Amino acid sequence: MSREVAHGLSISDLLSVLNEKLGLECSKLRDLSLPPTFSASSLASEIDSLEATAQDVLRVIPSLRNLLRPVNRMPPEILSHVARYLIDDLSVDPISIVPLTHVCRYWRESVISTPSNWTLISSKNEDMTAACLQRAKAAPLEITLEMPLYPSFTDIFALHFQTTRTLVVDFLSMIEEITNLFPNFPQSMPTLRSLELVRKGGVDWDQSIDPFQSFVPALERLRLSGVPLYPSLLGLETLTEFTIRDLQFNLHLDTLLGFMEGNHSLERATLDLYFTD
Amino acid sequence: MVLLVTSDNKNFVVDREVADRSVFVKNTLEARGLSIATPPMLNGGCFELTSPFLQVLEYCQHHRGEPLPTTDDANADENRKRTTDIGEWDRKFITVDHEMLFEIILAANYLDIKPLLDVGCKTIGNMVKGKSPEEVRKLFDIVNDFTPEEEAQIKKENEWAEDP
Repeated sequence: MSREVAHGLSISDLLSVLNEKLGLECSKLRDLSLPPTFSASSLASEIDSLEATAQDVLRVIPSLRNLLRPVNRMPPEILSHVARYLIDDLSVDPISIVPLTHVCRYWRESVISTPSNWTLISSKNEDMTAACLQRAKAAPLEITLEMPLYPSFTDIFALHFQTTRTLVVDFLSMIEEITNLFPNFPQSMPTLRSLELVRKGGVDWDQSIDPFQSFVPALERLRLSGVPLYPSLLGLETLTEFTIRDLQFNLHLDTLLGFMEGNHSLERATLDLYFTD
Repeated sequence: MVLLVTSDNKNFVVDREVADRSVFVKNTLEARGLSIATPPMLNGGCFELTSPFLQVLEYCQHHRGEPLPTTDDANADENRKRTTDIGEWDRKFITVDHEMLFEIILAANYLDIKPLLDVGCKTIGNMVKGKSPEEVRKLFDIVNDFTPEEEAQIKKENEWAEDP
């Protein structure tokens, strides 16, 4: 098929010029005429292809301009560093850095592709949790749960127990809430380094019934507020930080001292207790 | 004393204690047993080092003798004080125009001076804190390069962030 159009220009020449310059001078276009025989569908297809190419290139131009901006000369890890500071300063979840992912493609790619930016997980919103867990990939997680928890959260978290490093459970009304939600806790979280349990009201607890199996030896920080020092917790010997606030249960001083003396790695202990004997 | 040569061939003679604030320089000197370290060009030579290097030297001189952060502490980030507060001297030091701020950050990153890198990143963090994407673009002269389709997709993807 002849691709001659006019003035010795072929379609391929024209396409070549268009590809190079991404535009035509209208005066030249007016002079063009099609040959007597041509395939309209083929030509239309070529034009569509050309238009798509032009749009692709035009779409890249703003990104190219952004490359020249001084702030965008910083490598992605530094932008991620900035994002991490915002999280640390403002919130217990990554919601504060979402606006950064809307600035431009470079910022979006930099902030989203860093798993550690998305490891603070809270139970505020199911969609946010799912998005964060997806972006966190296999990075160690810091999870904060406010009870009562929607059962669907358990399914979302189930795949990520293996990478949970920090777990905070707030507003506990009964200790069994934990084991009901996370069967085999704490064995199901072998990388757990920090655990904080906070009781908020609820019926009287029977502290003689230990809800937990033995803890992983890697636990380094334990904070209990209104939660008894169960026998399973007394077995922990690798803690570097221990905090207990207990105004309700009759914790024996001998038990507490024995526990602390047994923790040779303990560096810091904070006790806020009410002794009855 | 140590002779430091920047990529644009400017010489700086500084105390070893000052030079050692840069982990890159410290390691280079220790590995080669030399008294001369040449910081490589940044980004393939796009930047002249002298200008930010003078600022970096001022920072290192002010903070000489302070304990260096340990690099082998696996929990360093976890234990880091979670705040974007910046000390008084550092705040005044880092109050420079945007271009210089970014060059100082790049230099700190390249020379491996983590406390200075932290100060720079915190400064940017404080600048963008609470700002909308459009406000951040305006602040740094960035163009919105998302297509309308991409913007719609991002908005949909992050609907959870819009919830009160």
